[in-house]
Amino acid sequence: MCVYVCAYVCVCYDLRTDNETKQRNLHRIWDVAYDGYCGGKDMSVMKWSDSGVEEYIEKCNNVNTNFDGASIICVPILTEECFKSPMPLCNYQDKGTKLLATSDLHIHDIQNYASKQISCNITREALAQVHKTLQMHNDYQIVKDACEAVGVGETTQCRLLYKGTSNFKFKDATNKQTFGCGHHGHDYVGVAAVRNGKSLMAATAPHINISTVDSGAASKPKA
Amino acid sequence: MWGVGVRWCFFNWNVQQGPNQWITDRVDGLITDATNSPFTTVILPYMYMDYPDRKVEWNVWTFDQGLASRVPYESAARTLTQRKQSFSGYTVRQGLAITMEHNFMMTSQGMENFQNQIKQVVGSIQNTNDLDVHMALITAPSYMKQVRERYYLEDYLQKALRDYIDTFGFVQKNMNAMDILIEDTKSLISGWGGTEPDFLMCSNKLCFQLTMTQERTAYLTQGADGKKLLRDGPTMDMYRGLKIVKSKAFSLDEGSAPRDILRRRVRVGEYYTGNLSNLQSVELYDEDSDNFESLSVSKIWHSLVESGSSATDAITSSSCLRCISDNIAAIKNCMDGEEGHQKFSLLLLRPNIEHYMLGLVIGKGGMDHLGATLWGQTEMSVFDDGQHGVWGMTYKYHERAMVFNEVGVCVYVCAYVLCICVCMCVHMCVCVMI
Repeated sequence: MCVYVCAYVCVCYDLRTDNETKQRNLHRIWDVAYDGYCGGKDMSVMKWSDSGVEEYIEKCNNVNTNFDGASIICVPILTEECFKSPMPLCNYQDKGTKLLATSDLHIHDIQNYASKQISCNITREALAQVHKTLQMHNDYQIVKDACEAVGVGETTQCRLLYKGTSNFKFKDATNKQTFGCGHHGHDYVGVAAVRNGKSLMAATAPHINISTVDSGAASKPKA
Repeated sequence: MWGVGVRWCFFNWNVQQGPNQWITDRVDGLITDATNSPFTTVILPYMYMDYPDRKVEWNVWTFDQGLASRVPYESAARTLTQRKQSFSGYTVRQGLAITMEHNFMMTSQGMENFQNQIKQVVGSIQNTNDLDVHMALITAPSYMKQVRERYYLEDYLQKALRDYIDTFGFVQKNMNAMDILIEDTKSLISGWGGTEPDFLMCSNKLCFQLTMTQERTAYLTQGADGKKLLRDGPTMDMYRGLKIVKSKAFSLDEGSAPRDILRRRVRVGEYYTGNLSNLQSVELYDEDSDNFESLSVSKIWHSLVESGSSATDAITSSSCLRCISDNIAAIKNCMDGEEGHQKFSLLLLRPNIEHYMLGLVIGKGGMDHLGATLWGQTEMSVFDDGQHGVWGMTYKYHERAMVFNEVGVCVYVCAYVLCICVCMCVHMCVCVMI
């Protein structure tokens, strides 16, 4: 009891809780509505040269203004394995790195997660090289979540890449179309207004089923 | 009343130099009563402290409710777990000042200007306190995180990722998004043992989504009420039992536009993949032009090599990735579709797709449930600068908005107004009783 009283003397204002109640009365939900496009989804391609890489790193690390660097990075990989969405873009060898996965959730055990998502070693190594060359590790700064970043007006960066909408056209007149499944969903012409907060995303048109009933077969007696 | 006070202040100017309790009380009253800001009334209401320059500490006790398990005779029962967390913080001394010409009282315009300046002080201080409430709500500990840490399940990560993807830009994806989010949060808070939330703080733009639904803008079907609604515009003070509090924009960075705390920039990434052999072009969505644009294979090739288009040039590129430079000739063969080429896949990364996104905060406000804006030791001090021919007033105060996140009821609020001895006595009694 003495210890308790002594401790309390040091504390002039002690807001103590009622032991009978356990209340958790605050919940933050981030990123529930679009309010405009900043950059990073145009057709500019990063050049794998000294100057190109340097410029990209500089633009990428400037988290206080809208992103205006190159959007697309091309990486040919000697593999025929399918890529699984979401694909973590990180250094798979580094155990200490954590990865921001949502607005406020970090993946701490990247190796475990990566082993589930990417089984091909060549792909892993290539992605680790990209991550390292483009200095996406951000070792010099804390990886902030939404709550930490919003106070200082910084952008958060999520390195979990989701499959986007694309159409690969080949010389033999075939093509391979892929539908987007990530944060932004499927891309279509006119979706810019949605991502500017001025429109609602178009719902998919209902599928029309056509079935033909042979009247003769219905009236035919069972064998 | 105010005018009389001002005249009195002016005519007794020499007497009033230094701290002025009369004006301090008036400004205090204007801040706490007249501004009626929802941030310092509904969410974290003002709470006066006599001695605010000392450390503020509070404890959070957590008692987990478990289920009793079967116990054999003469064996030990399972012990329930409990937890105590201690938090502490300080209030911050802040201040603002105004200056006027010496002879401003000689004209009615000068009097009016003085009155407006006082209102400006009041508005600025309230604005500062509002910002503090915003920051307190943003930086408060998240119980969600605690739940994750304590009850982390194997499939939790996948579920959390799915939830985040589903609610990313949710308001534009689903007409009933706000309803779902509110009910989901109510259910979540209820599951934590919390109280039914009573406020929703969100950006002004997000409120459009609440007021512009089809039901509320069907003016033609509502007769005379519909015409009135069209004239006045749909308003929204309450929604699903929650008071709607619109977040404010604050001028936080020098030289930049005021910033809403619940509006932020977010970068997310996408990838696109396909075979490289015999590739002609890749069509991707360009958000600048709101259309699909073609990325030719020659443009892809030129991004891989430093100069020229020959494979030998590219190998000398120092920044090139090893996976590219080691295989540059094979990549070229693959692109050209030559016989016996190795099978490469082309991976296109877009890791920095950036948008402005809006967020919201839902909770149960008030001192008993969430926290308070602690303030005190206010002082309005009058000064006279004869050299420059101006006089002025400085208003200083202690203030800090705090979220006592899991605090239930502050049972010892009286501690603020009683002396330490009384506190000691009360706690000694409690301890003895225990």
